[in-house]
Amino acid sequence: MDKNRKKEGLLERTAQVFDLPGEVVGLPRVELTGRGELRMENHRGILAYGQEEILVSGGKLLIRVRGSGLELKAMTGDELLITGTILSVELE
Amino acid sequence: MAVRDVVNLLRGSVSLEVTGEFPERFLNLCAQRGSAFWGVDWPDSHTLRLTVAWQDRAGLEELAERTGCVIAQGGKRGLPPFLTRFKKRYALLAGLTAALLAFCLLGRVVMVVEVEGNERVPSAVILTELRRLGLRPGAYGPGLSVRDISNEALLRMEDLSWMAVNLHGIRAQVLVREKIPKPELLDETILGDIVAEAPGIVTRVETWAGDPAVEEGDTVLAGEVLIRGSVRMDPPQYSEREPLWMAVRAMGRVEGRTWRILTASIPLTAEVKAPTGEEKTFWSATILGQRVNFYQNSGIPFDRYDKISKTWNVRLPGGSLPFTLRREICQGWETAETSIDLQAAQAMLEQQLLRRLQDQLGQTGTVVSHSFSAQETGEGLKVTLTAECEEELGRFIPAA
Repeated sequence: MDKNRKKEGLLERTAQVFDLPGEVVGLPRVELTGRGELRMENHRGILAYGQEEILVSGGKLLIRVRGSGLELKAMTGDELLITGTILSVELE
Repeated sequence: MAVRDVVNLLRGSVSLEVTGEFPERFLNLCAQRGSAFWGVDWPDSHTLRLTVAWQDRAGLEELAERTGCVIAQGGKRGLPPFLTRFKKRYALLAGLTAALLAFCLLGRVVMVVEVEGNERVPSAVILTELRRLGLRPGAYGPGLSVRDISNEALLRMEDLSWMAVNLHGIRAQVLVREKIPKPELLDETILGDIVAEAPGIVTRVETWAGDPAVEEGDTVLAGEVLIRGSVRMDPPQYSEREPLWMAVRAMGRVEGRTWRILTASIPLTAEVKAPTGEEKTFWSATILGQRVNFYQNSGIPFDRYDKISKTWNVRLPGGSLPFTLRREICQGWETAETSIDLQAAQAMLEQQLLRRLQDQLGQTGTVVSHSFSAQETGEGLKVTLTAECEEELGRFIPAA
């Protein structure tokens, strides 16, 4: 776990040094479209799932999506799409 | 219905219920594996319900084992699960395959050959020639070179000037055009006279070539010259030269009034058919031009018989198919002598005589008046027709 965190920290610094977009070096990218759609790239998997709260691992980050009628619309190894009424997105 | 639902129906789906300590791990493994899923429901923290694509269902058991979960399969939807039901119904599959093959292959086999555009040349003659060249019911359409067939058929049938063969699925349409017959040319090198064909009184003389030998009102006998084929050329006046004669082909029209007498007779007794009551029936079928007999002994045990045939053809709205069922009934009969009905016999003979008279007069002659007389003799009934006619008297006779 420490190794991964160190690696992600290194990637983040590399992106900053070379002025590269974070998602290119594998950092999670969260895109919110209005209240109804959240798209995330480079996720590390679902940790908890419910209609009012979905917890997604972003590696070093933990993304907590709160709302109502939440649904995991699509999910691949790298990307996921959450729909519903999103009230908040918290990073931990 | 949304496009997405249609796609899901086509590719099929299965509902799963995953139960375990950490069902989200199963979900994450599915995502990493690239298995498409949707309709995720999380009733409680240890149960996960989702729908996966039919093609991705294989291997999910293993994923569940790796994550310590148990999978329960729910309902299946879509085309692939529906087709899977027929996986072991071999007879149905064989029938379906046979039907598909029949649809694909028989749709290209020529079953009907139709000839259009012919008036003088019988369709049977054209169909026989085409059959020799390979175009017949049962022939495989794409294997036919219709251009070569029509060219070859044109060479073989001199009365046709054009032919086209169009293949419309199981129907072969043969369009033909017939040659226009050459007009009969009058050979003016053959010299001769026009003579009377029958005795009569001349009513009109119209000479085109030659010298008229009769005038209107003259009475002529059969064989008498009406228009001579030699023209007299007089020498100049006061000349001592002899007149010259020039031989030509006599041409012209000589009409006259004729009286024709025709007779016909019939015996007072006649032999008629008397059915013996015996009959024999033969059934046969013709499939794509091949005859199949449903009987073994084709011999007919009667000396004299009538054959009554009836054919049932398989017909579709577009035409008839080359599948026919045929019934032939042979009914035996014997002859029996019976006396004839005199009135009916007389009427029949009168009709015959009128037909003969019309044949003799041709298209240009007309009957002015006619009468019949009937007489019973020892040999039978004799009917005489006396007719007054107007007709063309002349007939060309080449010079000897």
